[in-house]
Amino acid sequence: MYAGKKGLGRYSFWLMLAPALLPYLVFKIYPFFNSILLSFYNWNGVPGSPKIWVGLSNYAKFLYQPPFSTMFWRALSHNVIVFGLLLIWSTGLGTLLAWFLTQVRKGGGFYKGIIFMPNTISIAVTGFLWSLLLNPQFGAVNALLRKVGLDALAMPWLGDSKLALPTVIAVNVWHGLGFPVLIALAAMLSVPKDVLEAAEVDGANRFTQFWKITFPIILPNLINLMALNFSGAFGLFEIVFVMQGAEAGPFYSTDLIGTLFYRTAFGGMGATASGMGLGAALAVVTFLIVIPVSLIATRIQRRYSVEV
Amino acid sequence: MRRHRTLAAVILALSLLVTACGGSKSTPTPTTPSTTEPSAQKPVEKTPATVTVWSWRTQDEALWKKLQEKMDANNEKITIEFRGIKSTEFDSVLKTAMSGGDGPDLFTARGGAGTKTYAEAKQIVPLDSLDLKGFDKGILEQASFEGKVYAVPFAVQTETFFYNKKIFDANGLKEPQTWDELMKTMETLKSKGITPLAVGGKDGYALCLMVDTIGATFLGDQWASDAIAGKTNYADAKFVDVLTKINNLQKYAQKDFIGTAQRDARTLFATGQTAMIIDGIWAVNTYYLKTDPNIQLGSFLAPPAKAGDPVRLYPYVDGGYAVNAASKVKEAAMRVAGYTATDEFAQLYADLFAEIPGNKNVKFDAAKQPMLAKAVEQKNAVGLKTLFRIRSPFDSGTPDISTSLGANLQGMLSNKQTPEQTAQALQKDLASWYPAFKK
Repeated sequence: MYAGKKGLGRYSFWLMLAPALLPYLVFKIYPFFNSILLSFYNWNGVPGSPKIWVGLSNYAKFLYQPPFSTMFWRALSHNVIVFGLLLIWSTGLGTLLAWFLTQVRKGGGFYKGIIFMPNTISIAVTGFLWSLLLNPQFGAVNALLRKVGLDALAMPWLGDSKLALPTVIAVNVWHGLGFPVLIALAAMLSVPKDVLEAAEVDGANRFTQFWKITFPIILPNLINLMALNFSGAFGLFEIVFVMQGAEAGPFYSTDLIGTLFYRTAFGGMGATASGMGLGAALAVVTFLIVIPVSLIATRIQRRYSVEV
Repeated sequence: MRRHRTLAAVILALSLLVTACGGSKSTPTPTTPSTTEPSAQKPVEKTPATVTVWSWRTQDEALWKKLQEKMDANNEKITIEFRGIKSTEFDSVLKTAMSGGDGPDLFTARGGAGTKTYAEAKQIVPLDSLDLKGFDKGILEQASFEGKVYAVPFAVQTETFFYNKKIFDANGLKEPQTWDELMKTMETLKSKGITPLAVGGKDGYALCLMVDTIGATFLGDQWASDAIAGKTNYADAKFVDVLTKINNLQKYAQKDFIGTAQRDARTLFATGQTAMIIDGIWAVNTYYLKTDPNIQLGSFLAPPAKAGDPVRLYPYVDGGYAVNAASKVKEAAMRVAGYTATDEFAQLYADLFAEIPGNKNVKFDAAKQPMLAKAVEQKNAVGLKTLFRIRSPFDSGTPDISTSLGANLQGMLSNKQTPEQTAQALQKDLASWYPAFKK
């Protein structure tokens, strides 16, 4: 009704928007553009110290000037590996578990509870707990392996540069597995029973039923999960920080964009240096990678959605 | 018309709200100190003032209470308001407060580059007027900028080899006098089935402690000065030799040491499962004695190549008290800073925390705190004056020396790169920003 008014009155809807818009502008839009601006400067973050305009040099450093470029590409490749691991372990294993849950006749709720339980613990506690369990000297995991005669498998899980990243991601998946299971399960339960029963009557085995009927129907949900895996993989920080520290050791083997950003912007261990501009440039680059892929994922998901 | 008025009113209200959020500045409220009667001897007029003190050492509350009593007794009319902030959050909280003009009057500034950045930004004031005779030049250096001292160093950390006396005695071993003797000691222990050395290989910083300790003796002041001036660098044979020595120590470390965190390495040592560890002095009270109050500890510095050659210790300043340039009670804050520079404060600090204060005129009871007494003695006698790792100029850029060195040592100790390659990788990282290394 205000839209038709003449004069200033017709802008009064801004007033109604203000309570929501202002915090959004102040806490989202402003910092976002501010960090883009910051990425063109050299600044250590201490108020009063000089901000020096360096143009695109912060970006150049990360893209092709060692040692920053080495760190950046290494971290990025780790993020891609994490994405791959999440696809298999989180979405893949999650779907499989969800399917098993649809097949069990008794105790489904109990299993669901077990799978979802780690989700209720904070990620920091999870990381700490598993660091203890995986400790090569006193940890329960290696003690157990030695007890059952698998001495060869008792390894320095978090200290070996080949094992560290998969191990940390496994812990992360353990913590978050309940979510993909829940999503996949809900999708599977939405598959019409009569279709499945008709298929069974026609002689389709369980695998064929899953592959030809259930899978195509739940595919949009799985694509959704994959998109979440993607943003999850590129936004990952906490678990590595808790288990391997900001240096993302050993020998940078668990270094992700997130930990690299933290070290760059806020300074590494014991260091007093911090490069806010460099960090901001890194954040912008990451943003430029993640957003297009997320948009593509949304498009793909729309294409595969099925009317049930 | 009426709508306009509402619009105007709401905008006004919003703008008030915004300014209220953004511009609040807490003015220190002058409160009268709990009075001991003004002493008759000196009726100087002092305006009562409240000095806010921020520190990442949350345990310091007791210290400031004691100082408050002391200042009250001297009728300083200053009320100290202490606020401890978690160490990991301290720097960002301080930065935010300082840029909002809400910073404390006095705060703990990190040693080395931490103090320098604030000094360079003119956020803290030089402490020319204070009596700093109790401090060594090398220590003050770590709290200075352009030749002026900007913070009163409150704690110094040292690093050393610690050993378990019981294990040494049982195997007829003595503190090694040369590097070869150290190797023989390691070999003897190993041949008897005792793990000689606990190494926290999972923590880069723990590996850096090995470089500090061994490098102190084998590099010395001259090398550090040369590196700072760009006359030598980390790819130099001397530094490679230090790395090689560390690399050779790995066969004496516990199994899977590369996956062991330093706190677990400390547990191994404190529970007698290894004979030695390279660690900071702060671990004595916070870890070893807490794990086993009866542990018989001994310590020695990295032994030199030849008997009689000098041994050196790596002492670094944890932090210092700095006075905020924007403080409204700068004169009072300065007086508080003056108290922290006294021998008396240093002794109070030492007694309360069993840590080494910046001021050298302090005594530890050798019977009660043998490790500390020895560390203070070593610091004053053979402490490095110029540093090459933590608190050195190589600490103040990105990537900093500690992060790069820690990671590259992990690469070396998992046999992914040789000591030479490790040294070169470190040099390359530093050369990307350190002016004297840039060519």
